[in-house]
Amino acid sequence: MATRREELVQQTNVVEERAGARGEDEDTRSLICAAFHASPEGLAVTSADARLKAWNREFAALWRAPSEIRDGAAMMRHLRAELADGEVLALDPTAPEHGAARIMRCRDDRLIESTSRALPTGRLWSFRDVTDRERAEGERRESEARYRALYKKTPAMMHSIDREGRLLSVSDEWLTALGYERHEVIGRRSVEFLTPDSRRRATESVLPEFYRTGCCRDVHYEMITKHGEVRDVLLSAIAERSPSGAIERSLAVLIDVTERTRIQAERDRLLVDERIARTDAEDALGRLDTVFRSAPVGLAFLDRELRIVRESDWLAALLGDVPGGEVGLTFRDRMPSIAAHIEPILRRVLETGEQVTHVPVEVEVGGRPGELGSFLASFYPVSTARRGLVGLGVVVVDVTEQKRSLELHARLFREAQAAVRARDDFLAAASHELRTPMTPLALYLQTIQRRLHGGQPIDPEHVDRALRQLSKLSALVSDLLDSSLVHSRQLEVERELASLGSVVQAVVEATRASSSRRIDLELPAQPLVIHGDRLRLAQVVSTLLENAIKYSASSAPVRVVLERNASEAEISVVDHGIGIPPDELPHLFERFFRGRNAPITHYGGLGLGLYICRDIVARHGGRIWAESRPGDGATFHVALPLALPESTST
Amino acid sequence: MSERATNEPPSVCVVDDDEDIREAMRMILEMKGYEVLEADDGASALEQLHTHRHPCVILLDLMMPGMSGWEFREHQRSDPELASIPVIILSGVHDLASRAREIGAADQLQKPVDLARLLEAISRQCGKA
Repeated sequence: MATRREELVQQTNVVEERAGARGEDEDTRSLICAAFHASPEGLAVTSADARLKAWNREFAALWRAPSEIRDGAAMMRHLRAELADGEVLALDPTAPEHGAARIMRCRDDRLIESTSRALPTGRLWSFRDVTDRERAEGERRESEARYRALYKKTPAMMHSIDREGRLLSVSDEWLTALGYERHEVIGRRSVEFLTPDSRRRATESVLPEFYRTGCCRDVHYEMITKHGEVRDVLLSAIAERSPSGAIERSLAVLIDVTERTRIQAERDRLLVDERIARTDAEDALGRLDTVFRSAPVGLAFLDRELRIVRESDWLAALLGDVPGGEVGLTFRDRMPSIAAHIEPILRRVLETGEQVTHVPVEVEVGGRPGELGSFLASFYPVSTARRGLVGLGVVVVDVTEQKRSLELHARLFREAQAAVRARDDFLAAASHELRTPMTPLALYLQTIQRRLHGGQPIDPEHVDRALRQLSKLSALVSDLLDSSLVHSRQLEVERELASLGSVVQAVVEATRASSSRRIDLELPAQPLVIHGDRLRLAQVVSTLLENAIKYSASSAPVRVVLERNASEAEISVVDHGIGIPPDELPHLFERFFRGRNAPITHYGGLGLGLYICRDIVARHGGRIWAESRPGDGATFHVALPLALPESTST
Repeated sequence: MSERATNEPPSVCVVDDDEDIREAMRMILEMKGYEVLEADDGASALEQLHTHRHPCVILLDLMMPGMSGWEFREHQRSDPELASIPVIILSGVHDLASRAREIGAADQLQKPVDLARLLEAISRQCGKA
């Protein structure tokens, strides 16, 4: 277009020169006029005094001038009216004189560009509609501005470099990330901002490859900020090439992956830690499982519904089951005998989260009915960090042996105490028993002595009584000796045929002589002959009779019965005294035994009489036993085998 | 019955479950001019004391069937009528002195008793030479 315009101007000059040189040449004029009007541009000519002198058809069309306008002044008015508010007409004589293009805006928003060239007698104006061109250019400029703004402001690190690798531009984010001002970096080589390692890699491998291929993608670099910190970036770049194919500049986008790298490193570390922890946990679980299975205590886990999740082999064996066979059962199904007692405790632990320890439990051991074992059970809440209270841990300790041992100790201790008490009682009783006959003996002897000293006659009664006390004393000493013999199983009996009735009668009569107590005696019509030791059997009857008198009120009679009972002769001694507590009947014939209702403070006696009696009777092949209703006296029975008829006849 | 007439002999109550001991005591004390009350246990002694003239002293055994000597003392000391009668313990138990103190006895004699000490102890309580 510009070339065309210049041609027209030249043509016009030629026309003017010719007109000026040759005067009026009508053909030429017509030709010029035709050319003037045929121009595709709007052309106008102004005089030296800036009045509009001529215009072509395109000019009128461009300015939408009505065909009736012929006058230059009218056309000028029209032109000014066509312009948008504030626009100045390029033909206006007040407009500054210039040859450069000028653009005017019409009321209908069209943009019309004007250029002018001076003529010897005026000025030639050329007009074109540049609306489309200008709009495209505006849009391009706007787009470029947006691009620049985007480039600068985009939240990504971007830079562009020239062929020497020097920074041409950088994004704001690039500056922010690395802590620089723009003027500090433009013109510097981009590799200056890399760590030495990254720089070496860039220059030795990345950049040569980039210059060869024209692109690179996600290259990991370490960049150094102005403050010396290292930032990890992934760089991707493309090259802009010249028409010859040479790389003129490159645009790079850098993604700051420092945080991502840090997170990744942290994640890796956590993964390693987790793997170690998992290994540790697996090891610990393995060890725990070994302990759990083989620990010599009962261990179990129950879930919140009191179902067995796990129980140790020991516990399973204790309850007579195969390990693991009971998993899934409820506690009630597993331990029906103690469920009513224990379940409330389990629920309390689940509700309160507090442990309950050392609950005594007795259960059948090894599934064997009747074989009870003693255990201490403790119940602990089991929680996990994620799920809170998940169930209960149960620890069962077998205390059967300890309990038995404790019971044995307690029994031995009781027995030891009883033995000590029996010994003390025996010593007190022995002292009392020996001193009792010694007291009158001493009194009689001292009286006799006084009378002797005073020259008075001795009362024979005193001597008899002294001798009687002496025989009591010797009987006591005999009892002590006998008990010693019984204890060492050395008591001897001299057996011969004897009438048991005579023996019993003699004892009763002797007792009647020394006691005011009423003694009833019942003897059988026929004599009962036994094969026995008269003195020892008399000792037995005497002991039973003395006890009957001793443990009953002085007014209560005592009855002695001898009767035949099948092949045995049976002696019964019946009293109405204090009786014997039923639980003490089995111990009655033990050495030093003393009934709890016959304390040493009230009743003397060595606790040897019945002990000796039992041995004597046993040595005769007989039996001795007692019957008693507490508070209603006692009956002692002695059964002795009768002598065989053939032995009695000899 | 607590006061004795001037012409009446002093009496001694012998409490012992052993008949032979009571008999020996009676013989000796009667020879010395005492009257003797006998009882074979504490309950019997309380009955005798309530139904007879009060003795000037009670010779008391401790270990007896029925009511023991200890129980007798509890009853006697809580009975205003009998509490003032002095008691001499006559027993074979060991540690007699402390037992005597426990039950507030006037004196104690260990079995078998020395005749001279017996008579001296009784006369000390009964004011009889």
